[in-house]
Amino acid sequence: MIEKEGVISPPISFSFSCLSNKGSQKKNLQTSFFLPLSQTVWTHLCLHLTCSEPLEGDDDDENDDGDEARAAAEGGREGGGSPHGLRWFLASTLCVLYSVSVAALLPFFSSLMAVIASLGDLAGAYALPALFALVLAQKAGQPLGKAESLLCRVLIPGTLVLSLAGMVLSFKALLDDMDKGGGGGGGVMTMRRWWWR
Amino acid sequence: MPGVVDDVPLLLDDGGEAGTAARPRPRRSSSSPSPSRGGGGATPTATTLILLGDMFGLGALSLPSVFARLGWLPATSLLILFSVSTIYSSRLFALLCRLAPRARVFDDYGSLALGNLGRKLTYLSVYLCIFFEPPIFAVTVAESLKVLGLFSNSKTSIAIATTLIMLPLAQVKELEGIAAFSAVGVAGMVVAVAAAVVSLLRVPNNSPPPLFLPPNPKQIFLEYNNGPDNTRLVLRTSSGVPLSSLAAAFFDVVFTFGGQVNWNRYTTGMRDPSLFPSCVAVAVALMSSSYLLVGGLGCKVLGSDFDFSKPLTSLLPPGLDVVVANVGLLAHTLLAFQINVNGKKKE
Repeated sequence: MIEKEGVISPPISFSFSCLSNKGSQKKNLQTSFFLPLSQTVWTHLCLHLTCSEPLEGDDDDENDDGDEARAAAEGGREGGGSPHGLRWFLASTLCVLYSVSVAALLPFFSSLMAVIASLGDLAGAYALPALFALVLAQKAGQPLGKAESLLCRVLIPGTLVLSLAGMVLSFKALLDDMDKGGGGGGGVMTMRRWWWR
Repeated sequence: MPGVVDDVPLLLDDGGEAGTAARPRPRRSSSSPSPSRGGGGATPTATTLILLGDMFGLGALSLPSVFARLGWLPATSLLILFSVSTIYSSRLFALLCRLAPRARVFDDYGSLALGNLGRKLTYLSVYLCIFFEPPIFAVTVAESLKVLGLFSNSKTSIAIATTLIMLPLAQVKELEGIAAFSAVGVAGMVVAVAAAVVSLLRVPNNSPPPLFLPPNPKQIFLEYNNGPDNTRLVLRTSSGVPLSSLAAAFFDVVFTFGGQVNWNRYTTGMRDPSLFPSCVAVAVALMSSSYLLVGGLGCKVLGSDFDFSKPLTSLLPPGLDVVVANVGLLAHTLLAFQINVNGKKKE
């Protein structure tokens, strides 16, 4: 079935697929173990956002063409041509250089991690799922129970406000770390003074 | 596009095969393909292991500093709070999976719920977060390289070494070529944490941190470093822990429990998605136990006067266990940086 749809079951068909009853998945050593934190996700997203091909339409009739175009744009596998390979190389190189540059300028494990988390982790875990669940349940004619509905309605603004506050304060913590030393060069310190003081 | 909800049957019939009966929606995000459901799929055990491999990562190495900044009781409470919250989050994802069985990636839920607005909200938060994540791996790789002493400790040489190591790996598009190594990455993190714990056990205890908030960590930090360059930065008049430091500790915990962007694929990949919250509960119980051990022990040993800006593996005294920890961490981080589900294949 997975093959029928043209996609591989990634998280499931990792080597743990031996735990699944679907024996045919054993050979699909796909994994998403590191997906949320991976560079290739970045590359894929970058290519996706900059892709000029009609990636896909919302019309189902366009799905196949859209998938093929996107596959070609993202991985160069469908197209197989050098332009796509070049795009991959450029995007992945950009990601590596960007990562190493930021790491050299802001080598602060904790505060950098906090800035990243404040950007989307709370929204991705709570605010958006709660929002989407509320709306979809309503549309499906199966509204959530009162208690859960109330919880979701609290979670949405609550986590968003927390995220916004977190962005500001985590960034401040990052700047404080820079003040303490160990970070990037004078340009960053100048920016820090200009920004915060 | 708005109106897509009208085109898609949202509800999955009990025991139905909605994921296969209808053609899959295109993947809007390039971040992942999605496994389909029905007729196969992962067992709860497999899903639990996958969740553990996905979520048990670098965040654990920041937990001693979280305990040091927040104090024992608040840090422990926060870990418990996020354990429970994570389990509730999994309930929401299981619900979304039931309501929108044809959604392939996270923003598909947004599209089905709110049209383009839903997609934009996803891109502006969750996917934006993905864009900013790679540097944390570069920081960790650089820290590991420094501890291992494989290169000169100058920033330039470490940056060049990091680039030279990461760039070739970044060209890997097909997971098939490196999938076997992904298991090494998971094992690497386990080894890193285990070796760090062993290392902590042989280090004499520092002054234990208080139950609640410790004294101003900024002041302690500067006194600890006590260099002439830091003199101007000593905030002797300030009192209490800076709010920004507390917030950073809080969001380090958030990061530690993060990774939900992939959960829609785990739910849709399960044979019985309703069991997903149970899988998450088991994974979270195991993770949280490790977090409490690493955070609590790390803080007990290191006290509250260490450099919060570094991962635990960079704070330990030299020794074979520290080398092992950093080798494991390096393996994990390099693979975590590279590996993705690049799971499309030609039909």
